[in-house]
Amino acid sequence: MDHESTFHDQIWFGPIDRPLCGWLHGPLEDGARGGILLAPPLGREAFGARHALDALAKALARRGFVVLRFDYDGTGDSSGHLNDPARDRAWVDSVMEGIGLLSSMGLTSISGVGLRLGATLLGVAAAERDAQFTSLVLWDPCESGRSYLRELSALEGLRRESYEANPDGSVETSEFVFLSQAASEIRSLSLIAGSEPFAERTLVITRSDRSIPIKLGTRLADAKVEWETTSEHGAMFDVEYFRSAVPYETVARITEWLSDAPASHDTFLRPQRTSSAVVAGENGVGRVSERSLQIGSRKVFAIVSEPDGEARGPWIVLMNSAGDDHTGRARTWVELSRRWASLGLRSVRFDLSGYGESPESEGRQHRVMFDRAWLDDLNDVVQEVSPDDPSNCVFVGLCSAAHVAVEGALTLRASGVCAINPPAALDLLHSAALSARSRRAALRALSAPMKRLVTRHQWVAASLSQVLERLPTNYFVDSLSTLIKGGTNVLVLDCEEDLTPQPRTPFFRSIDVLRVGKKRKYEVEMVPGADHALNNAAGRVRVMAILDAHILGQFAGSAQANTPPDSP
Amino acid sequence: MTDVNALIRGVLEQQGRLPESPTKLRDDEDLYASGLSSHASVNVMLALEDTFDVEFPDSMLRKSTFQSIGSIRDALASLGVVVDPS
Repeated sequence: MDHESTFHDQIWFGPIDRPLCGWLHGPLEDGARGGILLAPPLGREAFGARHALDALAKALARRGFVVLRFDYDGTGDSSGHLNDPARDRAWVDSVMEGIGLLSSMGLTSISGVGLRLGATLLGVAAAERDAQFTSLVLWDPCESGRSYLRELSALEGLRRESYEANPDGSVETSEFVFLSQAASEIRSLSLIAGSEPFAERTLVITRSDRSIPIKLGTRLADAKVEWETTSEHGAMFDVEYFRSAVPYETVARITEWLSDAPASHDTFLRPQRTSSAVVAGENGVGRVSERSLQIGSRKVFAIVSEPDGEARGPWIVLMNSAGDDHTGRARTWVELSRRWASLGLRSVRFDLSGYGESPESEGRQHRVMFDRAWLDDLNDVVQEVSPDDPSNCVFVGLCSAAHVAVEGALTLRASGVCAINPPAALDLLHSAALSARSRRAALRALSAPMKRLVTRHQWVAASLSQVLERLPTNYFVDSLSTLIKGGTNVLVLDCEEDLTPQPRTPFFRSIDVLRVGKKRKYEVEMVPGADHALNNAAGRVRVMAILDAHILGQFAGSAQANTPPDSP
Repeated sequence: MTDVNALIRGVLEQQGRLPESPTKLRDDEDLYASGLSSHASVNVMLALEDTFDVEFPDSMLRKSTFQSIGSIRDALASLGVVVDPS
């Protein structure tokens, strides 16, 4: 029987001095057929998995289960840092905290679904911490932490021309850098050690396009273990995030399998929602408080970071790009938000519609790289956090989010904009936005073709906008110069990869000079080693260091700007 | 003697997601230019390790190792896989 009415809350749980962030789903009635812990993958796999696990949580809630999705210690929105000591123990501790929360609600039957390294962690919890699972789903499990890191390291080496594995044992992935100590601890995690069953019943789902590792097959050779394959993994993980597809058939299969288990009927107590939590400030100094919000009619998900004491300066508004979510590239928005809050600045990081925890905008079935609704999302967030003075904000965005940041700043006359690797045809996108709002039908009709040109032929669009800016009309302007004229503080960071493609003929070079050269009213700082999506760690660290110094120097006083952030 | 080339092409057929069948590719043809993505390369790497019971060391986990059928064959030979001299 499906439960029509379900709840879905963001919660803080676990240690008070180091809280974990999670999302609780369940039926609105008092009775539940059990609790289920969803253990996510790590790193870039977590972006695509978030939608899959959210879909699974909702499906299970409709079946009467109480479901907890969460971020491990030092990941996502949970407290701590990725390379804090004892990662192996800390992540299994996070699993145990999740089980503890579900048990404390009165749920007597606890099951688990682990995806990729999440499956490994559930197995370790069962084998080494005596976690008692009624049912366990190991969804494309990593045989060990070693195999997980090796696979990610291989992807990095096979993606980049100049990548060299680090001899010190640290592992760079296109999302995170695991330092040598953390990498060593992660390698020690093993799903294949031991021989006892993990649960009363176990389902292993493997990729149909990969063979089953021999050691994993041996470890799980038990009559109580069922094996199935899925062909949906490539579409979820082996693509850019904005193209990632939810594996609906696999989600439905897992839901059916878990529902087939003998049902308990527990009366459970839904925990009182703690609206905020104190997460550690930088190096434990400077307490930072965080709270989550669902904003406006589109229920845009946001997290506010505030100093425990007096706040000063504008709101720093951080939004995701098409390659990540509100946590930012390699969790940089989380780290920077908390650092800035420990130094007195408030910030809000949020998911544009269709990404992360924010639902798709109305009428959309798939994520897109540019969505007009995002300008409304930004406006709603600003009206929520700074209703008395919407201009008291600094907008920060990478790539497509840089476009949203610039447009938002023009509309709201923001105090500042930090545009990282903005689209080459940023100004034509601005023209398209202006045209869409024009009273003249002929101009409105130009909006969609301009946006299509930007999406399909960005360099033609970039060249065209340089020419059109010479026309005596307000529809084709240098948007960043317009911001500066209006008093907005502007920082533009760019990379070699975003210059016109090779061969760089005199014509192409002239486009680059016009677009990013020093004749502009603003300076575009080219960051060595950065790539467009900030996948490469060295360049990403440089970009974030410049951003950090700029924000603190311009908006929080120069003294704080001299204290460098942690890296990588 | 095991036909290593045939096995390599078989792995590429199953895992490489190439638009053209690997049986039609020359030994020195650039697999990336032929459509091999980085994600598919990882699947190819894992399947080669299973097929030949080897493990590519970190130093070999780079684009050049999987650039062509010939470079893959050479890499496997350096790991002790006996390659048909013809």
